[in-house]
Amino acid sequence: MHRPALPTDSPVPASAPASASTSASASAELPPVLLLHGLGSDHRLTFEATGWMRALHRAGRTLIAPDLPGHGAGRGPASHDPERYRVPRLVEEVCALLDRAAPGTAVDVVGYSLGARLAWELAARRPERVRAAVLAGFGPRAQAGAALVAQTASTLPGNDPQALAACVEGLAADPFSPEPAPRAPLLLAAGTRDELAEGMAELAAGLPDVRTLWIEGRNHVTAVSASRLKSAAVEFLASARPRPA
Amino acid sequence: MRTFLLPDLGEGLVEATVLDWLVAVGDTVERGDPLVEVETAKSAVEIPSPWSGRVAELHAGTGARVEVGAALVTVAVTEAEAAGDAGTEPDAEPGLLPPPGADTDAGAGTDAPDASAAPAAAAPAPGIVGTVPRDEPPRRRVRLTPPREG
Repeated sequence: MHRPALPTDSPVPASAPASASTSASASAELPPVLLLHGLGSDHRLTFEATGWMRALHRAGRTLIAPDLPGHGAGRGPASHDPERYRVPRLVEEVCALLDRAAPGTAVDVVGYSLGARLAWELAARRPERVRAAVLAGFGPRAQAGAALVAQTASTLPGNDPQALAACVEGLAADPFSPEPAPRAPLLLAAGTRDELAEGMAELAAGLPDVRTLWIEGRNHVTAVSASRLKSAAVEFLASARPRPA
Repeated sequence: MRTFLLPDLGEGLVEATVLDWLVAVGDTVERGDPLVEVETAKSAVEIPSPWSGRVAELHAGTGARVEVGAALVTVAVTEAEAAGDAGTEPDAEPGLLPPPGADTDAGAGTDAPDASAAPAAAAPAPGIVGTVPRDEPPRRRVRLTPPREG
């Protein structure tokens, strides 16, 4: 079933699951999928142009696809204050979005690059919010490549180089830590030529419930559209069975 | 037969490189089915089929560079679609091929300090695309340990 994206000022479509419903039919449905895009990108570039939203729509999934602060074209001036982009604050804002978009529901999450980092933090620190997650284009040392990614992305139309620089600085203030690790089932995936995913295998080795997927020949830019990654993610999220707490 | 030309991918770029074909000559495709992944200088894009039909020819091999406006794929379109086509581009299927500029998120405000928070009525709801609110200060501290409830 296709669920076309609608403007935020539209009424909730009748086909959308009733919020906070606990009925048996609703609980049998798969939860919404939260899509968290990469640094210097937005939900369109990371998930729409690459076919992710199409693939998930076709799988019958409802999507929540925000643009992170400082990202996404046409939304007015972005903050140049690094504090605006601290990881805990971004995670908290994603939680606030979920409180409104999927109240009382543990969602599935797909994150790419920076989005995967945020998905990790969300799953680790707010486990009641995440049923299962796909973390792609990401490794424990991805932070080291953030400045270069932002520099490249700064030339994309609509991006604010100063906002991206502030974002990199803000993110650097919260270095990645493998502890605490998410308990939710995770799929870690990356291109074999993705330098930002370096260390992904060792990260996976320390996780309680994880699968890994390498996309042959793809790098940080090109792995995101890989059809093998999307199909693996759709299948993983459809079949994920979180362990009892 | 209709030939699909590499569209402008919206980055001001004039060419793209074929990463992978997702169809082969002879395959039947529905409109909106993924056809090909291409790489531009800064991003990767999956291009869906604008028509239903049978793939007749791929005009560029994997790894080949294709200029915007150059032939990408030729499709023998199904009769019903060809008849109703009358020389115009078929409309994109809603939700599958949203036209550029038809934004799916209204935006929750600017990032200016002291801008008021997005009203609840504009809050993203399930099934739609929204934005993370820009200016709401965190209402509570981030938990540094997993919460106990649940």
